[in-house]
Amino acid sequence: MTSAVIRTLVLLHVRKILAEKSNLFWMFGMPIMFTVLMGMMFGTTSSSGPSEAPEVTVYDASRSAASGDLIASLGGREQYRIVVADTVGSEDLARQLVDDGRRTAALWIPAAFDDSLTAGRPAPLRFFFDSDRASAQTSRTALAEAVRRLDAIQGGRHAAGAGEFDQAVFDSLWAEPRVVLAATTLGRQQQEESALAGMSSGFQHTGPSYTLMFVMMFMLMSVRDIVLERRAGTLTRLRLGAASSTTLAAGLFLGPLLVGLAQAAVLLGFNTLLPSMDYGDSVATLIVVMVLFTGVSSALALVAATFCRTTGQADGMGMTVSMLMASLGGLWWPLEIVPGFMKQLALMLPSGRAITVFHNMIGRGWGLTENAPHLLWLVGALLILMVLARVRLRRLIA
Amino acid sequence: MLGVLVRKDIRRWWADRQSVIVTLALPLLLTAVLGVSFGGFGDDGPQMEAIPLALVGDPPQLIRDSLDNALDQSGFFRPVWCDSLTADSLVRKGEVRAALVFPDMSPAILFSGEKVVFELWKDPVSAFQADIVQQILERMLLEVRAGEAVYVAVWPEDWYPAQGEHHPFDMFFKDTSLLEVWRQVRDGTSEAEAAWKQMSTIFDHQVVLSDAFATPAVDLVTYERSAGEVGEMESPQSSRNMFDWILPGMGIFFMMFAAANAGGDLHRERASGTLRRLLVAPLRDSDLLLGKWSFAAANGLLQMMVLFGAGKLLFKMNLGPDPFALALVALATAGMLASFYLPLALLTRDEKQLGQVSTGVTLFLALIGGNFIQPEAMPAVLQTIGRFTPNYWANTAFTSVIAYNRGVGSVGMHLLILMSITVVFLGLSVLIYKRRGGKVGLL
Repeated sequence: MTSAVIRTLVLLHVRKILAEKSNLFWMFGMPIMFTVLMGMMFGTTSSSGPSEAPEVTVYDASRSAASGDLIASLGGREQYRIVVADTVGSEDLARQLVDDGRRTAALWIPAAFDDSLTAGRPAPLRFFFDSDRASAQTSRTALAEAVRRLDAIQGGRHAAGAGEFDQAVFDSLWAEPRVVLAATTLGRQQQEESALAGMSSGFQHTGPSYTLMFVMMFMLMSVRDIVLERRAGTLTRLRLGAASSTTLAAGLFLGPLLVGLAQAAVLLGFNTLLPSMDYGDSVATLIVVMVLFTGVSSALALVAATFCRTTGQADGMGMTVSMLMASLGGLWWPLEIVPGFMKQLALMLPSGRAITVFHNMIGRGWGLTENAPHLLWLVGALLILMVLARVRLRRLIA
Repeated sequence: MLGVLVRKDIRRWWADRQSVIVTLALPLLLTAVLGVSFGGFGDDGPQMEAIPLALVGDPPQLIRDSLDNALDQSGFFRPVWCDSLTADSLVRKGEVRAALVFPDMSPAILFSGEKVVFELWKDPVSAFQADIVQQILERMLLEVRAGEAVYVAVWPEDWYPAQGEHHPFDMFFKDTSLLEVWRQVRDGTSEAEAAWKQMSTIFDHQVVLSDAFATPAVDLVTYERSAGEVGEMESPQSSRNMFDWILPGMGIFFMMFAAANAGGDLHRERASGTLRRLLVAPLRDSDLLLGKWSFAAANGLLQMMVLFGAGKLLFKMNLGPDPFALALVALATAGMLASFYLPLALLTRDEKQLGQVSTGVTLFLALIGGNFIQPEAMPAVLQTIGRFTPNYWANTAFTSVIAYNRGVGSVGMHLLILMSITVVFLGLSVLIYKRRGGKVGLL
C-alpha cells in the first residue's frame, strides 16, 4: 500500500510536468539560455574579455616615430584592439567617443608630441577611458607601462648626457627584466594534467549556478500544485485511504526530486559542451551534491506548500524564496566580491553550500573528502526539512 | 472616468497579496540584498572585504615593515606572514586569495646580477581578487624594471661582473653585519677601498638618474568617462557606489515583472466576472485600454519610488543632479513598460499563459538589454542586438542619471525613444483589441 501510494504520487507529478509543454522550456530552455548568455557576458573572468575585443581608438596627430613606437607597444593584447584612426581627429572627439559609450577608451596624441620629446619638454598625451570596463582598465595599464618605458628612455638619455645610452641593452632588459613576478594558479593544474587552471571562464560559474538556480526555482514554483491538491482535498482523500503522513511526504518529495534530477542531468550534461567547462574528476561528488541539493530543494518546496493557503501565496513565496536563495547564496555573482558576513550567510543556505562544492570541484579539483563539511550540511538540512514536512502534513491533513 | 478605473485597479491590486509581493516585497528584499552586497550602508557600513594575502619569506626588516605598513594603511589587504607550507595550504583551501613568496633578498643576491623571482600563488577559485593582487605587484615591479634597464643602458660598467669575475662587493657580503662591513671600510684594506669607491659611484649615478627622472618625459593625463555637460574632466562624476550601477538595471527588471503582472489584471478581472460588469458600463474602448495602461504605469512608478527611496535612505544611492531627470526617466519607463505588456495580455488566453510568456520575454529582454550587466561590457554582437530592446533605453537612461550623475539634457534621446515605444505599443494594443472584436472579444 505504502509503496503504491508513493509510486502513484511520483507518477502523477511526472505526468503533470510532461503534460504541459511550456514546462520543458522552463526546465531546459531558459536555464540554457541564461547559462550561455551570462557566460558570454562574464567572458573569461581573469585573463581575457568577451569574444570580440572592444576597440581602443588612437588619434595620432603627431605621426612621428616616437608616437608610432608608443602605439606599437600598446598592441598585442587579447582584451582590446588598437585601431589607429585615418583622420587626425581631436581631443574633443576622443573624449566624446568614450563619453557616448562608443569606445572603451581613446588615446589622443597631439601634433606637438614628438617636438616636445626632442626638446626635453613633457610631451602631452590624453587618454580617455571608461573605468567600468575591464578592457579599458587593461588598455590603461598597458598605456601606463608604455609611457613608463618612454619616460625611462628619455630619462636615461638625459642622464647619459654626453655619454652613451645603449638602447639595445635597455630594450633587452626591458623585455627580459631581472626582477620578475612569476604568478601560478594553484589547484588542478598543479595536481594533474588539466586544461583548466582554476576558475578562468565565465561558464565555470554560470553553468553550475544557473543549473542550481533553475532546479530550485522550478521546484519552488511547483508549490502551487501541492496547494491546489490540498485545497481540492485529494491529499485528505489519500490520507483517509490509510496513507500515512510519512507516505504522503515521501510521495510528494520523491516526485519533484525525480524531475529535478532529470533536469539537472540534462543541464549539467549540456554545460560540458561549453568551452573550458568540466566538473573536476570526482563524479561521485558531482552526483552526491546534485542529489542532496535537489533533495533539499524538494523538501523545502514541500514545507513551503504546507504554509501556503492559496496559489497566489504559493507563487509569491516561490518566486521570493528562489530569488533570495539565488542572490544570497552566490548564484548570481561570485561570493568573493561580497562582504565577509554575506559569505557566512551564504554558507547557511543550500544554494551557497552547493555552489561552493561546485567551485571546489572545478577550481581546486576537490572530491568527497574535502567537500565533506558542505555535503554533511546538506544532509542535515534535508533531514530537518523532511521531519518538518511530515509534521506539518500530519497537522494539515488529519 | 479614467481616474475611477485606475483607483479601482489600485484597490484591487492592494487586496491581492501575490501582486503586492511581486511588486513591492520581492524587489525590496532583493534591493536590500544588493545593497548589503555592493553598496554597504554609506561610508560607515560594511564594505567589500579586504583581500586576505599570505606573505612568505624573510625580506630585510626595513622592507618587511614598510610593506606591512603600506598594506595595512591601504585597507585593501589583510596580510599574514607564514611559512611556505602554510601559505600553500591557505591558498589551496581558499583561506587567502594569494600568497607572495619573497626571494632571497640579501645584498649578495641583489648585487650579483642573478635573476630575482617573486612568486605569486593564486587561489584557483578566486576570479577577481587574486588578479587584483597580481596587477598591483606587477605595477610595483615596473618601477624596478625601468630603473634597472636605464641604469645598465647608461652605466653598464657599474653593473654586474661577468661570470667568474671577481666582484668588488664580495667582501662586503661575506658578513651580514653592517657593523662588520663598516669596520672593514674604516680599516681601509685595498679591497674595501675599491668596494667603497664602487658603491659611491653607484649611489652618485642613482642621484643623477633620480634628477633625470624628476621631470617626466610624457605629460599623460587620463580622464574617466564622466558627465559630459559638466565638463569637469579632472574630477570624474561617475559614481563609485556599486549600488548606483546595479539598482537601475535590477529596478527596471522588477518593474518589467510588475508591468506584466498588472497586464494580467485583465485576465483576473475576466475570471472574477468584474470585466463583464465593466464592459456593460458606458465606457469608450479607449477608456478601458487606457485605464489598464494607466494602472500599470502607476503601479510601476509606485514600485520605483519605493525602491529608489529605500536605496537612498539605506544605501546612500545617488538620485541624479536634479529632481527632474530621474522623475522624467521613471515616468517614461513606467509608461513604456505598461504599454509593452498590454498586447501580450490581449493576445494570451489566461493569466497562467500570460505569466509564462511574459516571464520568458522579460528574462530574455533583461539579459540582452543590459539589466544584469552593463550593455557596454557585453560582446559586440549582443550590444547591437540589445539596442533593439525597449529596456535597453530605460537602462541606459537610468544609468546616465544615477551612475553618471547626468541631467535631463543627457537623456533627451532616451526619453524620446521610450515615448515612441509607448505610442507604438499602445497603438498595437488598440489594433489587437479591435481585431478581436472590441469589448465582446475580451470576454
